[in-house]
Amino acid sequence: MAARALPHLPWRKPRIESGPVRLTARRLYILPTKAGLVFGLLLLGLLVGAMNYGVSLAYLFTFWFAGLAVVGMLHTQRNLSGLVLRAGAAPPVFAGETAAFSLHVDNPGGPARHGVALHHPLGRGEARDIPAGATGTLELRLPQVRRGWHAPGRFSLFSTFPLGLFRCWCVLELDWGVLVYPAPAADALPFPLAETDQGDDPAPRIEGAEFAGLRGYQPGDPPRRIAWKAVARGGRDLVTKQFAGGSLHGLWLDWRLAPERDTEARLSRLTRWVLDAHAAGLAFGLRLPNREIPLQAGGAHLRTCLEALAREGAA
Amino acid sequence: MTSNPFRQRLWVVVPLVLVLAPYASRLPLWLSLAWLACAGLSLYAASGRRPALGRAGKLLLTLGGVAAVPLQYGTVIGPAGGVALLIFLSGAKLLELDAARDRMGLLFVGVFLLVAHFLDAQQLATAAYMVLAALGLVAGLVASHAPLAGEAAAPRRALVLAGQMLLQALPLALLLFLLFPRLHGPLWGLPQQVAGRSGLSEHMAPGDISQLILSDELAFRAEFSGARPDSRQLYWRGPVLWDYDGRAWHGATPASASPPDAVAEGRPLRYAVTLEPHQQRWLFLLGLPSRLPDTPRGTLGSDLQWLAAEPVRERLRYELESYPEYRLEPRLEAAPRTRALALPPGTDPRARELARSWRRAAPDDAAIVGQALDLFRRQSFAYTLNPPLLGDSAVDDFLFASRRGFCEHFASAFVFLMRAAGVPARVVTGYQGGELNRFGDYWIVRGRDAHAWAEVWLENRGWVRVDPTTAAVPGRAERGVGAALPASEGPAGMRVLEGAWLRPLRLGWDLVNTRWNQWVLGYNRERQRQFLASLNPLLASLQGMVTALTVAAGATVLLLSLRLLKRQPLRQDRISRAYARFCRRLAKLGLERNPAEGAESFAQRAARARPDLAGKIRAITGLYVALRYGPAQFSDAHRLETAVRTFRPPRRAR
Repeated sequence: MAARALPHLPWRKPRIESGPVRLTARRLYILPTKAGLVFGLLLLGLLVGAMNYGVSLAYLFTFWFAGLAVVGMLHTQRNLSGLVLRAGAAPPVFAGETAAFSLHVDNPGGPARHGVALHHPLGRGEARDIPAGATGTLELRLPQVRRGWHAPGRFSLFSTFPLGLFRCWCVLELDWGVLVYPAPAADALPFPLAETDQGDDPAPRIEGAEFAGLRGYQPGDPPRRIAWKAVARGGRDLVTKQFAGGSLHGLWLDWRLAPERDTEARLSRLTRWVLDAHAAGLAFGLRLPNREIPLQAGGAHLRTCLEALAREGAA
Repeated sequence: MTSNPFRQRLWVVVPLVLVLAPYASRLPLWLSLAWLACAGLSLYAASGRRPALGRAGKLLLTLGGVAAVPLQYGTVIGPAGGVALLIFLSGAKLLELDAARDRMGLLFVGVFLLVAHFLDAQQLATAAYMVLAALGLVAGLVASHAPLAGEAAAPRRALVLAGQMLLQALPLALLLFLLFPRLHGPLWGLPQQVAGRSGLSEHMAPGDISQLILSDELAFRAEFSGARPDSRQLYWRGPVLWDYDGRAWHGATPASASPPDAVAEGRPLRYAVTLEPHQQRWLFLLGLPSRLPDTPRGTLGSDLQWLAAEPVRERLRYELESYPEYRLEPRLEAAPRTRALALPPGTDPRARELARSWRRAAPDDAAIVGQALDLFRRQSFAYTLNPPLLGDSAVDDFLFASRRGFCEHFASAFVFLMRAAGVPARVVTGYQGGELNRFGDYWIVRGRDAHAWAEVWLENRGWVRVDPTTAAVPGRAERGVGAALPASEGPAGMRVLEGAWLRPLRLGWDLVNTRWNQWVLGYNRERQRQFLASLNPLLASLQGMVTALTVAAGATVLLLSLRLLKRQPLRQDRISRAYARFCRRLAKLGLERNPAEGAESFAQRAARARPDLAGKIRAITGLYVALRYGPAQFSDAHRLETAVRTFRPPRRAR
């Protein structure tokens, strides 16, 4: 019965929620902050002083500040009450990078809200204001170490506005997550040759492909592919050399062709190759132990491949 | 929306300046200057023109100040030194204000200093000023606490919010103030004594009271219920002086602490006196009290001197019923008789001779009193605040040479003459008259109303009050000292304030202050019990107070939270409402939106039908679609509403 009445107690495992979450008094907790405790001690000291010296105005102002703390507490709760939270998209990242989870916070009514922030054991978001009748976006930046689909788990949304004496928060676990691609291998090895040649010549040379032109540098391009001469000639931005497909049969990036032996290292290698191939504008296919993605080129294909790599081995 | 460090510091510096300004007059100049210098340096550094003081500089400054404060005050224990040290440290801390925690800490120090200031000053104006300072502190907390909240950091927003919160906190504060049980006495040692104030004392030398007259300082206020006395009846009795050493009168200790042997006559007066602290034990009263009040505790001597058990260190209110007409000590014992006749040997031969001549001629003591008053009346005695210095024979010099003096000269000479003639007599000091405040119907008695008169003991009548000053200066008792003195000598404050048009203002202000003193400053244990009992007898007990406080405070908080936390209506419907309005406007032109028609296709159809409106139709539809399905924010709803409001299509295309 109690569990039904108060489903959001901090020590209870929160339900994973998917729809918009409206913050009501039932799920908002409030406790004094450290500063609030200090302020309480200060008021106690002032009260003792007022009693000892019998100073009426000291009583009056001490009580006034005490009343202020209580009113401040209500204002702190009001600052969060009634907000509607919607999970936003978290763009995929590579392992080792920081994922930015964005939470859209609607302030459908009432006054402007101030200093609302997210808190997670691994990171804390910046405080934001949400004007009346507007939507704000809070960001939670969490470092991602491993590939795969990761939900951030339980986090809290809190505010100590306006006085900082009380902290009001709610515990949330939303149905959201981020896809983490494997970290690309640090060094760029040449693409593998066709599977038939496996073992004999494991180092086909991309330089054998035909130089096809230059394009703007994109993060992830290997340094050796950067057209340093073009840059030195006075180009301000980095440019990357592009090569037209070395093989008309297409480039097959095969799990078995990766030189590494460790699964994760192989995935990293494949990720590097996938990125390089995409950067070079090549059509490529990907062969994983349980999945084969046919030869193709383009951004959508790249994302499909990266996702397959991220999810490799996951049920 | 990054925070601006200059503004953030300003939000700490300005409230602290407000709190500290009243301290400035009591702080050494160097401390005030050092504090201001720190504040200036802090703001200068925050404005980004120069890096803040280096670590070594800060350390040196702090150590220097911490060493200098005890040197100045001798100690840092106790209110004065401790507060000075705290003020200095708050200044030094201003140089290091980057974390929100530092700013909050300093504002807390501000709260402490604000309340601590009431140990020194509790006037109405001080309180009003401190409300302003409190507003500054709370606004500072709001602003310092939301460094990123660009909107809240705007001064107006922070001030408005702080003001709202203070107002919302006020009912709770007043409830606590009224119902929080007050203690009987201090928990530990009393505050350091306030520097001695001018007032009556147990000695009276020529010139003492004329000094007192110059002071405009309030002695007490008295409020009568029932019969209103005449100002001539208002002889507020204070120290009674028995012993004369040839120059000054002494010995106000009552001859015996036994209750006075007195019979009341006539009808009593009922009044309440609010006595200002004067650091002495006298309590002033009129005539013979029927019964002493429970508080303050004190004893009434046989000579009607009322002494409190302890010096009056805080404002005190007591209510009395007393008889202006009475017969005191109809039979005089030997010991007090001897004391009331004693004179130092050898002084003032001419006065003694005069008194002896009266004794020889007079049939009884009353006739001798008449003779003396006649002397004052007939001879040209001048009433002046600046009498000439008197020689060794003070009474002779006054009576026969200078003939210029103040009430203490008249009383002293009169009692001397009486004793020399064999009539028991003594000097009584206190206050005479006062100023009636007609707005509040009470008397204001100030230092300038201090007076000395005489009492003589007459057979069968007991001690009788004789005021020799009124014999010499008839107007003194009716119109006060200001009227009796020569125009050039009136106390300075009196001359300035006596202007007719200022008088109502001054009296009105005095009334406000009286109520303030009674209801706010004087709200102690007794007053609290009395007031609560008048509301409901149940409230007068500790239990009643605590219960009432809990219930009332709970109800207040509940009401407030209902008001603050009530569910806000959703505003999402604004968008649909605005769009519906837009469709109604188009329908009037014959362009009905088909219920199944999408917003975009409806817009295309409408634009084809009315090419002159196409631009507006597209703009509104675009906004609507963006708000409903796209990336637009709620703030764009306002734009949509405005666009729809200004969309007033003419019936026919031009």
